This record gives sequence, C-alpha cells and structure tokens, in this order.
Amino acid sequence: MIEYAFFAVMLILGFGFGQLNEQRHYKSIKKREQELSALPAIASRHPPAESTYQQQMVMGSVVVASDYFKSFVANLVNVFGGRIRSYEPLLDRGRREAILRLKQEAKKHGASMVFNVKYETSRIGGGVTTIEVMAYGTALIPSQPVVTAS
Amino acid sequence: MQYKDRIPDDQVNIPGRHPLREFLRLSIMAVVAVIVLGFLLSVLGGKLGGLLPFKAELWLAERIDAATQKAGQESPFERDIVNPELQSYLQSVADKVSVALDLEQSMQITLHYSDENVINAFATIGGHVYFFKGLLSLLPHENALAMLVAHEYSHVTLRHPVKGLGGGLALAIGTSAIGLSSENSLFSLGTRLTSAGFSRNMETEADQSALAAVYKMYGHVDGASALFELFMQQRQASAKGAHLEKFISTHPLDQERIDTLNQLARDNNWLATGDLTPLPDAYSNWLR
Repeated sequence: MIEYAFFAVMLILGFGFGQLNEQRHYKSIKKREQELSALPAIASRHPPAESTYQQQMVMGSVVVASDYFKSFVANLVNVFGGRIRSYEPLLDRGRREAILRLKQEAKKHGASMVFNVKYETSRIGGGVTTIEVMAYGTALIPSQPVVTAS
Repeated sequence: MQYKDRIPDDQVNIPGRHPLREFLRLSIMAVVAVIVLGFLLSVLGGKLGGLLPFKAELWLAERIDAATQKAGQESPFERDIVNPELQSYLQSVADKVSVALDLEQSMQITLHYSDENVINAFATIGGHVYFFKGLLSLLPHENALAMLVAHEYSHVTLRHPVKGLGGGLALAIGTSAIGLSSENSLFSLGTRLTSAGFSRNMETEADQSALAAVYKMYGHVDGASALFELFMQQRQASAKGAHLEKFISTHPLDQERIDTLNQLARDNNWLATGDLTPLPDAYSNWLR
C-alpha cells in the first residue's frame, strides 16, 4: 500500500513541478528569443561572400531533466507505441535554450550572425531521463579587412 | 542576401494536447490491456495446470512443503489431528465418498483437521483437504458432512487446485515479465496460492459432482443442501448485506446454490427426501 501512495505522491509532485518549470521556462525562452532576434542563427554552410568577417566557433549547451510524470507517461507509450508527447516539449525547450545560449555567446563576441548551426542531443545519466542539447555554429564577427602577409 | 532570424513556432514541435489527457488515455489503455492479458493468462495457465498429471501435482506439493520448511515457515500442508476417533470417523465417511466419486487409485487424498474455530473447509494441491472445527461442529447430520467432504474431494478430482495454481503462476510470470509485480518470487506465490480460492464456476462444478456422490451414498439427496442453508444462516448472522456479495464472493450465493442443486436433483429424478443418517453420539465430544 505504501508503495502505491509513494507512487501517487511522486506522480502528483512530478506533474505539479514539471508543469510549473515548463511554463516558467517557456516564458523566459520567449522573452529572450525576442531580445536576441537581431542576431540570426543560420543553418547554411555558405557565409556571405562579399564581406569580411572574423570567424569564431560558438556553442550553447543545456541539460534538461524529465520529471516523474513525464517519464511515467513515456513508459506507458513505450508499451503501445506512438508519439511520446510528454517528451516533446522537453526537447523543444532544450533546443531553443541551446540556441539562445549560443546567440548569447555570439553576442558577447560582437557577432552579427551565426552560420552553419547544428544541434546535437545526447542522453545522460542512467535512471531519470536527462538530455543534453548542444547547438554550435560559426559566429561571424564584422571586422576590418585583415592584411595577410603574402 | 539578407539573413533574418525566425522566432520558433509554438504550434509545430509542441503537442497541443493537455498532458493529463494523454495520461488518462494511456492509463485506461494500460488497465484494459492488463485485465485482458491477465484474464487470458489465467485461463491459459488454468488449462495447462489441468493437463498436469496428478503425480506431478503431488510432487509439486512436496516441493512446496519442503521449501517452506527449509525457509523455517509453517508448512502449508500441516494441521493438527486432535482426536484419533474423529479422524477415523472422518476417514470412514471420506472413504465412502471416494467410492461414490469413483476416485482413481492413483489419486491419493489426505484428510486434515484443524481445531481452529473457523467456518471453512478447503482443498489444495497435492490432494490435501482441510476441515475446520468451526464448520464441523455446525453440521446437523452425516448427510451434510458427506456433502461437505464430497464437495472438497470433487475439487481434487476435478483438478481445481492445480488449475488455480496454473492460472496464478501464469499471471505471476506475466506480471513479473513486464516488471509490474514487486513480489514476484515464485516461491512466495506458490505458498500463497495453495490456499487460494476457486472460481464460482469451479464451486458449481464441485457442488454438482458432490450431490451425485451423496445420491449414490444414501439413495436420496435429502440433507445435502443443509450445508448451504448453514452458510446462509451464518452469513445472515454476520449481518452483511448479500447485495454486493454475489460479485465479491467466489462462491455462488447460497440460495442460488441450493436452487441449482434442487434443479439438478429434479432433472435426474433423484429422491429429494429420505432418512437422514445421524452423526455418531460422541461426535460433539470429539470436537471439544
């Protein structure tokens, strides 16, 4: 009996805190996305040819943990198959947060845009589902033409 | 070329559905799946259990007995036999029942008596049949006792305990295979299930087989339903409404049982009235 009570409490706690965290995170993500919208992150591998930029690799990385409720629902989906809807916001948050951190770093270097942006996702830890999402790319920092010795 | 930033669309990568809706849908699916699978497993296990030869059932009972004793627990098959006279009387009635049931030679049934004041009797695997003082002391005549013994013996001849065990084991293996059960030790299950109840169908089957045996023994079926009238009185005395009981109890409702038996007697033209055989004079003393 005590096991079931524990399970129910964990489920309720997981749902409550999970939802709260998610809403807070999205609020913050949306705010910062507006703030950093002047700095585009582009997937293209071909930077503008006409100007000269300094190049620098920038990256943003974030680790997000699932909660008890999300993991339980995901386990149930594992039985029947289908979309694991409970994990989708988790990954979405991870990707958007990673891009924001990447942009933040690029902004710090005075970049005007980031090119060749790529994502990587990995699962870390054994028990609870925890994911790391990393975004990296090449920051283009406008500069004077660099004179190279020939 | 112009490069523009795009604010991510909230509708694409995030499900619009409320997480609780998803949870509810999946939980209902899981519960239904567990019930259906559980039912199939127990039916299948029961069928497989019924195929087990009685010899194997005996062997299994011995193993469970040995294992419990090794673990320092009370053997599930041990009950004290208090009075040798009572024991030999019970045995003599049981022997007559065995003849009436056409018991096969290979099917050895062991009689146990417990002086606990419990209104109960049951049969378990390995042909072990238990009678409790509480029930025996309420019996009005030998015909009722014969009905009781025949009922429990019929469970054994119809292989109900091993079918129940087979179903339970299949269920246990199934639940532990999907990691649902925390108490999935087969050992503890084996011991727990030796005293598990039977389904209502099994009870009806045993009732019918027992009534036929009682008719063979006495030439009439008078007094056989006294057993169930007794149960009915006891249940009414314990003042619980029988409304829900039909669904909760594995035993068919007492009145229903009596009706079914009366119908069976009528269908077979068995005499409904006859001389009742009294219990020995010393019977009540033996039970003290």
